[in-house]
Amino acid sequence: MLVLTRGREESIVLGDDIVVTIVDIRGDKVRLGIDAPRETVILRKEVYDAIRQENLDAAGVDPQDLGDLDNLLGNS
Amino acid sequence: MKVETTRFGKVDVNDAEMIVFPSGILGFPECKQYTLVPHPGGGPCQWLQSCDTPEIAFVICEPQMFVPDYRINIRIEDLAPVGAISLDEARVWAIMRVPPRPEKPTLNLAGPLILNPTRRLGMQFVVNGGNWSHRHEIG
Repeated sequence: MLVLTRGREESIVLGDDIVVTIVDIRGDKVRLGIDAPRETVILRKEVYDAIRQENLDAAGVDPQDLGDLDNLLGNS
Repeated sequence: MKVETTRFGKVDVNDAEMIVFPSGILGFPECKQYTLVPHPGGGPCQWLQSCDTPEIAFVICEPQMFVPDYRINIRIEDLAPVGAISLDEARVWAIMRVPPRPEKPTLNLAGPLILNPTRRLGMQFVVNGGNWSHRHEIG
């Protein structure tokens, strides 16, 4: 992993069109400002990981679970 | 074309029924082509079956069937990957996780699927900073 030291209001550039700026530093929190093309997906990593893991779990629904699903839908 | 599936056997899919997820679904970047398979037991859910990988299929539903007040904020530019110009044109689905009982099924309301039915393009949209859970219990 590349590790860089940056201070307040300093930036790094990712490729040609993404700029990440240190907006503020307070205690153990850093506020980042991100300039990127609008179509760029930017997510907190824990959110990304949670959705990804949820997809992996959901894709593993077993045909045997179908009975439970039918019960659920029948009751809903 | 014939699509092999582990759950439904061989499924006939014509090109017009194919749904393409250009960026895939998170965790499945290689699976870009899907088709809808009705749930054999009927009801509001269907299966989003991968045409590339026989064992990958998601149970999906319209989230309002279970969560009537479900709404998401999405910017027009976020819809660009599916070529939709407004949320009115798009259809929103939630992926359902169906764990063994007694655990309750959950809907992923934080990462809904957005479909442009006209162009047959889909994407997974991650709701940034919303209050909807990726494990919203139903049933």
